[in-house]
Amino acid sequence: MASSPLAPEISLNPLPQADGSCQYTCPTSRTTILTSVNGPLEVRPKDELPSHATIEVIVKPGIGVAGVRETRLSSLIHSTLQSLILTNHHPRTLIQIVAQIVQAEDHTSLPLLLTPLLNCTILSLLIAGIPMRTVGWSVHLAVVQGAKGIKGVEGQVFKLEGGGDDGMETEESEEVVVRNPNSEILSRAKSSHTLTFSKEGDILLIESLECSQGSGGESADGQGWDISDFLKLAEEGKRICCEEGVEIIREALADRKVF
Amino acid sequence: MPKEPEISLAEKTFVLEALKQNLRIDGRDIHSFRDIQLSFGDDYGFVDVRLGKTRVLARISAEVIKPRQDRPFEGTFTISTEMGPMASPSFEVGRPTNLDHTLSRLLEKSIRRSTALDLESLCIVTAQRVWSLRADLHFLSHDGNLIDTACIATITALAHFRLPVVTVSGEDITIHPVTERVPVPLSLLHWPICVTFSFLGEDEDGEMVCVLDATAQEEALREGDMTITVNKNGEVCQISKSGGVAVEAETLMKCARMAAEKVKGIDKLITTALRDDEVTRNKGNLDWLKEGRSENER
Amino acid sequence: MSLDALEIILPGDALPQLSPLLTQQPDQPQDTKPRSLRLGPGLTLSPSTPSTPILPYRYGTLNLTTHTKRPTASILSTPRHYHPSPNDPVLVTLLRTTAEQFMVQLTPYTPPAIIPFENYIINNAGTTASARKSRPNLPIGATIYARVSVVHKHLEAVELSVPGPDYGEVISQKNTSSTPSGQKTKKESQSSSSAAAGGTTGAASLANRSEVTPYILTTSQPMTKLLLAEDTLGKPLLSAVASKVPFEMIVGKNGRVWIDAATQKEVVKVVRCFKEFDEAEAWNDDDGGLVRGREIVGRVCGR
Repeated sequence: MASSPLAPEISLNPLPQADGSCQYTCPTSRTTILTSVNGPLEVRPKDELPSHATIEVIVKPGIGVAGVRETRLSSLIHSTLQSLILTNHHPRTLIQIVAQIVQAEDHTSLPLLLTPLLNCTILSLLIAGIPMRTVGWSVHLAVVQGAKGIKGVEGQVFKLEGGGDDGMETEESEEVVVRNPNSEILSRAKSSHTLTFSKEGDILLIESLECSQGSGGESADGQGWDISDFLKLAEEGKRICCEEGVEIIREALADRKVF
Repeated sequence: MPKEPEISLAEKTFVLEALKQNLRIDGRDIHSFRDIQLSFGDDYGFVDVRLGKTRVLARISAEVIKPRQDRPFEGTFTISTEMGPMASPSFEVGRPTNLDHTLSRLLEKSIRRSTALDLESLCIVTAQRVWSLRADLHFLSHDGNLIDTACIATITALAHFRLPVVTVSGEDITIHPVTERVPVPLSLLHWPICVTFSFLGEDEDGEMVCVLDATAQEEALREGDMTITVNKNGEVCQISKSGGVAVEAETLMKCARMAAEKVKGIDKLITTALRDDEVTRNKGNLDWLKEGRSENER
Repeated sequence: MSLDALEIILPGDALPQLSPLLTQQPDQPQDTKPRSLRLGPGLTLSPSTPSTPILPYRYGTLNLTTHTKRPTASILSTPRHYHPSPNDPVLVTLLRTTAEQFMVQLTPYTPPAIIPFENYIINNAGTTASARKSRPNLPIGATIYARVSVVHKHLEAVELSVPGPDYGEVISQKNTSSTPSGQKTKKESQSSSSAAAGGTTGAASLANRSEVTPYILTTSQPMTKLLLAEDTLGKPLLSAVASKVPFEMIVGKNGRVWIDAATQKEVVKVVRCFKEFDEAEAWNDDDGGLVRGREIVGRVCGR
């Protein structure tokens, strides 16, 4: 029930038979993910680990059959969860996670999918009561040259240096950072960064890449990005995840009775 | 080790005994469907179907390709049904079960082979460019009757879908974005809908108990099943009874007649849902209530 | 949205409320034993993270009992999945019988649990099922009312026991072995206006009925907790149902509930009420499901 236009739409336990499930919609990119978590379950002998639970992550695309992209996504999610889930609590069992991409503006864009997938999965794990050492949250930031024509919601577009205001009156050539961009903004971006932090501020995942600017897939100018700029970006990402993200989690769980 | 959970004798005995008296655990009688709920997404061609706890999503997408050499006038249509552990932990990715095979075979027979979709209408430039349509089905929750639900989802999604308008000038084709030209519905010749009957023992009169829209529990206890695909005109598109307990032909005829009746109701439900969605989308713009055809000039 | 005095704890949260209990108070005499804190479900020791020596690993509210000799802290939360803990009464389904034990299913898709024959006591004299003569011949799919005896993550399987004749095979067909009458909870009509109140008593009445009526329902953990708390959480729903349909039930903590009533129709009504309440997650409502429960009962049971 957050009033912020940047807050995702979250529905907890929409699936009647899963131990934990969540439907998550990013308000700006309209990416919708549905995840289910079941466990601890009986594990197949070939997947059994003697002192740990086996984590299985399956990502199912919205269109077509699962391919390399889905394997990459599930591997990224798996490694993030390895550092969150306490697998020594239920050895020789299976924790099964399935993430279904329900709706996406661009089904082929990995950066647009990764953040909603991670956040949705983390919420499902919490609902399912899977033992975790802490919670995490993810944010997707895109660096765009020139703020002209970017129609963002309040708080979505900002500058890295100082100024916490919307920065709508920036000069054309100035760089701005857009939070949770949609595919249109992403197509104009210089670089895309998916940052996942734990509640305590530890980095769980960084997936950054340089984007080709403009349409038509021209190759990027190969300039990369400055390390100090990136660190500023990461600091802002950390603040978003640790403060706002955790707040979103607490609010979503507050509606559920505990007894 | 098989992952199917063991059903206790108490449940088994109760369910089978109760069915003899036309009583089911959820209060339905044996010839009633659960409430079918249809909801549509923002995009055309996306539908979420619920039958009780069973839930299936269907999404139609289209792209332009070169047609097959032996069929230069036709577009293509494929249906993808991959089940995963979200529906039930007994499904494994990459290991299709019997249900997987049966489901894809039945949808193939019911929808593709019955030419519900007119493939020739998907042709843009003969032998050069055609539309290739794809239906992706996602199984979110399994409480029985995935077959009927999947069929309803596919047909509804096809009826909901809009194809972008294409103009041809010589060798070049221009696909108009939806903001420029209003997209058009697909050419569906009829709506085949599957109805599955489950056979669970005999009642006091010695007649086979034929249950409609079985739940997962009823499916696990059944001795046989049959799927009939009918459209609202009562035309049978396919019948499939693969093994299982032997059933008298008389009973099968009764089931076929019942299926035809049920399909009329389901057809009406889909039509109403589609119309309501159209009204919501266009906020009462009456032009859209008229059926659009791909030959319409705008 | 209710203003909860208890805040939600997330995994990894620091718990400053617990630190006074961990250190010895300076004003206590030297010879008293230090009070040790017992950790219940949801909390674990985490020496590797000094900021959170006691680490919550589930979300929920902190539940602290300090008045007992040994204070216990746990995280209160009820995910749908059942986690066995010692002394839980459970209703399990027999999967197969081996040379030394019964292998049973606690919940679907989880590793099977075992009831070793020496833990299966069949009569008041303490005879176990170890000898072949005294072993009950249970069919696959039989339901057994047992107790969880040993749970440890490194053991091959969860061990259950059948501590006496009050436990054991639960009636599933008429004329089979005795009903564990001691554990049944009889729910009869409280109000005088209801018809068919009648005193149904124990096994005798069941055997006289011509219909086969007991059913075993699967419920989620929150629903199971609600049904076990007859006088508190469960009261709104249970009394609403019982006022329309008298029934008997045995609740297994693993989410299996044995239900019996006078006719099959009545059992179906009770089962439907519970199922719809469970699926709607009605305990999340501000009133604890009172209004929704009444609405469901009214619709299902009629009148």
